[in-house]
Amino acid sequence: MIALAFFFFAAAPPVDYATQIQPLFEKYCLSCHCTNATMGSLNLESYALLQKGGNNGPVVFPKDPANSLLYRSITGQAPEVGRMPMNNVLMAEAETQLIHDWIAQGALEKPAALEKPAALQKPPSRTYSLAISPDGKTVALGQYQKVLLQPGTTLPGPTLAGHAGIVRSLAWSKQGTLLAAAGGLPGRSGEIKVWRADGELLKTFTGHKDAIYAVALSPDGRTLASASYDKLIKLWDLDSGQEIKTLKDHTDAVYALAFSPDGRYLLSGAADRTVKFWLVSSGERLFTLSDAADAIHTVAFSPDGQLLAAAGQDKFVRLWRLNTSTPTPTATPSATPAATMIAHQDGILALRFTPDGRHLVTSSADRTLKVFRTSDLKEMLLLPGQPDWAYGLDVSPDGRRIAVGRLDASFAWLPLELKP
Amino acid sequence: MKFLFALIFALQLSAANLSIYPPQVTLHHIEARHQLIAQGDDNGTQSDLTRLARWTSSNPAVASVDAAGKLTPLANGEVTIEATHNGLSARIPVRVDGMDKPFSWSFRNHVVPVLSKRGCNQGACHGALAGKNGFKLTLRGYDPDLDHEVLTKQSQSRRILVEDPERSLLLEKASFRIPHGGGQLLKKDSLEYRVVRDWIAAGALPSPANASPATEPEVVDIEVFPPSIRLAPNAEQQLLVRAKYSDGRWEDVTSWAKYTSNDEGIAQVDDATARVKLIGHGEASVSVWYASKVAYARLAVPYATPVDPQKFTSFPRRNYIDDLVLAKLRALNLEPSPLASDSMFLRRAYLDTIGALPTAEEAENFLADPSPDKRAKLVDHLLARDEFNDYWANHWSDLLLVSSRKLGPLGMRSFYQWIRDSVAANKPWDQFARDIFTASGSTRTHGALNYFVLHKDPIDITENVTQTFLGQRLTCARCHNHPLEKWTQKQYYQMANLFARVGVKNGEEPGENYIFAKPAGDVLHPRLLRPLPPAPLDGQALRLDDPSDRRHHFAQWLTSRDNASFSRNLVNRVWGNFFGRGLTNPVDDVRATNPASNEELFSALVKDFSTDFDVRRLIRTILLSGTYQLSSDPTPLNAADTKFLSHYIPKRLPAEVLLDSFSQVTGSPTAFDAYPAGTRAIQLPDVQVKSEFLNIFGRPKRIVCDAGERSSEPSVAQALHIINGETLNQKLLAPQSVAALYLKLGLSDTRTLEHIYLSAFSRFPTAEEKQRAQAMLTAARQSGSGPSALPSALIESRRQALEDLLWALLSSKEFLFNQ
Repeated sequence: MIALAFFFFAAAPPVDYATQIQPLFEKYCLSCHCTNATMGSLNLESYALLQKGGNNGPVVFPKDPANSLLYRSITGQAPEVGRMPMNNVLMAEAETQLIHDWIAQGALEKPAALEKPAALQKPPSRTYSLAISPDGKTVALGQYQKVLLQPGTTLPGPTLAGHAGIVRSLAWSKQGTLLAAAGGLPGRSGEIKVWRADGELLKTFTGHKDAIYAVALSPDGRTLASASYDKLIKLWDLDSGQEIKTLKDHTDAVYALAFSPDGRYLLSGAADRTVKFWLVSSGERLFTLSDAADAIHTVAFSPDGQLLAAAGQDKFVRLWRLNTSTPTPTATPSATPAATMIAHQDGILALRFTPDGRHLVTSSADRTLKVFRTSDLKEMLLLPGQPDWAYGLDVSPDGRRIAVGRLDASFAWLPLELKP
Repeated sequence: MKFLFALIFALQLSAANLSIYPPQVTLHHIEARHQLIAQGDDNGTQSDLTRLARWTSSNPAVASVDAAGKLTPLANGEVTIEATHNGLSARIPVRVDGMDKPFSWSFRNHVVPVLSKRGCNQGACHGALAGKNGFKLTLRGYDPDLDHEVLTKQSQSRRILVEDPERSLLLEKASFRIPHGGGQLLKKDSLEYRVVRDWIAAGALPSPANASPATEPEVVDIEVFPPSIRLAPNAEQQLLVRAKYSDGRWEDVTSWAKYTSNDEGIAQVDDATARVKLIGHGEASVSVWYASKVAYARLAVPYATPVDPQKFTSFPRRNYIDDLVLAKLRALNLEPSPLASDSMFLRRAYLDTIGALPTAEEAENFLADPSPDKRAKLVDHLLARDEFNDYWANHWSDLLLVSSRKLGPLGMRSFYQWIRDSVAANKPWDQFARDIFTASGSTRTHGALNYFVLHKDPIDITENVTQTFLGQRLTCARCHNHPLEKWTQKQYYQMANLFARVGVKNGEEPGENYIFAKPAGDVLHPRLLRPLPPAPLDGQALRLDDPSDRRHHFAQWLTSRDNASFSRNLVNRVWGNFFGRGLTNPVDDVRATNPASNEELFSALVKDFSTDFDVRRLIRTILLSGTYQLSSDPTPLNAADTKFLSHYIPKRLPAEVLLDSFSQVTGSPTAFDAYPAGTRAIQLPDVQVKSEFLNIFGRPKRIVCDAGERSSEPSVAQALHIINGETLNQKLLAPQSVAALYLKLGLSDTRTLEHIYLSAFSRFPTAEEKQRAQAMLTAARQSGSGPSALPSALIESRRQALEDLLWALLSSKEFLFNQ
């Protein structure tokens, strides 16, 4: 239980322990976890006894259902104790949800909301995007009209406010000194704010005819790229604040962007089912990869710049090998398929390479996260039972943790532990 | 001024009885509203008094009612609501509860219906398979879970902003604050706008707090009031639609249901208010759709001109068909035509029952027969004729798509032979269907099994079998829930899975196949990507691991007496053969929402038929009815009627029957490649047999099961073919034609004429016809004779005249049509 969740907001109605949770224990658990038969040294007869936990330590971590043994076991995500209740008795979805919500609200004996009902009337702050700073010390969470900077504690950090709408994409500069946060208003306009790491607003860029879904910073920190639902990609000069070019070739909303590690190329993915490869200096589209059968949601360059990755609604992860062996001004690069895999049971929302490039992390609408080996796309790790869609996904610079920001407003660090 | 007239007219509405519908109401939550209807009844003619009645509540602090009869709850309690009009009054109890409980709008039970009502998810907009502008909803909201994900999660929750509901793109577009291709669909002060906004503000949850999509009550049924009603001309009627939920409660969904009139010339319905305006005479139905459930209201307006009551009392009532037809005619004030003449009935019964004309001899004998029961005797005679088997084998071969195109000669022959043997043995219809779905083995020895050679994959079988044996088009449900019917995509794939294990392998002879039950195999639901337990539409499901032949389970459900569609389909197809139009139209569409022109009659026929599934008995019942024996001559008062059976509607002879009739009257048969001389067109088992004539006159190709495949539409090609084409002219010119025979036998002109008229029209020529034809024949004798004429010239001249006469008769409407 290394992972910690330190931010949460509940949208669910307040859950009462005595009338809603204890009856579930009586229905499903007490035959094995009571004074007369305390299996695993766990006794669930009372709130006080529950707090003592069992052989595996505490069974609830307040406000963190995903890491609480109680919730993991009843949702089949606790290999150490197996699925609870035993003998394949399945709890109703509404019942597991109740336990989830109760833990998420703090696993209190008396619900706080009953004392302070106003606190729960506030709408949740859903997380739409996420990026870990290059030093691994700060996580930026894109939310409605703001960015939250999480300095790695359980307390919310400084807020970068004043965005026009949902912050849908975040990008740190290579040195970690700047953070670009993009979004805008659907059907109206796009907006990018560039912040200094200390929270000072540097510049605001306004453009596009719709919200921006992807923003990327060139490795030299001088060029900003934005992609919008208006089908266009724009390149901006970060210093002057001027729009440099509009890249026009996609025929539907552009959802994803990535600069090559050398900053020479730009990769884009769109709802028109294509991945396009651009030469940044000229704005020329060098080639199009049309293998996908549905919208592309996410693209990435491998850290060595040799592989292109894309994934989206068709559930596939696709890798292409970039052919730039003798890069000359006249030689045009191309890409050939390297690996393809039906990676999930529903659309793929986000994809990241680990810093060493050996693995790929994916987040899907099937409410799982997965880790694949880059060389053959073999599935190495499955993190099931995510409480909601996670558009926010990043890997820590040390490659040991995954940060997840989900639409239900929850955020979590998950350990990235792969068996050798 | 117009208003004044309307007022005067309205005040004239009188009623002997007043009642309120529904008879009691419970309002379950603070947002519940309920339309009440005050209905007047004056001797069977009803009137909607909802807007004329004075409405009062016994306690307006508990529930109030407005002038339009709409209830609003205010506090928990019970009240009596009263409507009064012209000294009449009616009361109903109303209960209000749940006012003290929190209420939130439900995505599936409120938001999706709003989107459906406003048309957001219709086929032309975001319900299209490709969506619109990147936004794709399921057609008419058939999959709320998917719609919820699309709205609240897809594209980073592009369309729903829980943090600031009013600025959600969904509302900004729908209210046209941002330009929207679909226009302004939600006004900002409307209830519908508020439903969507408040749902978002409450967190845009898939189901209200403390419920899950699995436990939330869902709509299980809808009901429309009035279900069936007779109104005065120009009347208006408010409809009320209530939905029943799985927890047993009823709610008024009138404002969010969708309405369509099946006859805009009789009834027009305002989709926004659910008010129907009757603008014509006859009967129309308004179909109602809500949450993938369908119902319809039938509205009748009697014809205005008074009918002599004696016309009704003299209606020839022979069996229950006549009682129910007469009841409908009385209700609509439609005058029946008198009984058809003997010759009209004789020719009609022959053509409709055995597909052949009576010969001159048969016609003459029948007309001369003085016995009062000669029509009944004729019916029994026809049912026993071998031509009956030819005609109905052809009929059912159309249905089952018998053709060598896919089956090859061997399969086509064995399939046809099985059908003809079944007709000859008068195999009950349930047994006929079971023969197909319960047999295994060789298609050569079990002809019925060729069905599975024609329809090889489970999708094709599913869609064909529902069309062939149930009269339902299921194809829509392949990709999404049926937009007009209750069938869901899930039911479709459960049904398809019944046919997942039909194996076909080559037999010993070319064209022979073996049909067998495979031990494994399933059809996957395309979106769930897993097999569903096989189940016949609304029947019981089999377990996925059940080892029995799934087709047997299907056959049992198909032919069960509880499966009304099975009998309705067959009854309607047989009825259509005799009346040219089914009780529902088209003849192969008996789905629940296709209203019958006379539902009471249809139900009675179905009930009768399903006692023994005896097709020949059904045919006999129809033939013996007075309804079938009515004249095809309309009266001035019933000429407008095409469906309530006030008179027989003439229909063009089917291609094969027409060709055979030409052959029979001219005495010159048509030869068909590879078939023995004398084979009649109706006896051809295969539609691949070459015949330009049959193609032009609408012989079906037997490729898809669709009654529209056999065309009875007139065309220029048909007219040209009869006037100039080779078929009729060659028959008349043939050396052995009937014209040659008349001359050879040396019949008198009078006798010749009588014979011609009897064989073509089953009647003697009228005095005028006789006179004109006689003049022609006399002229021919004169021009062919004379001092210098050769004997052959006389023969040639007379033959020419006979050919002309025959041609004129055989190309006349009286001949081409079954009157």
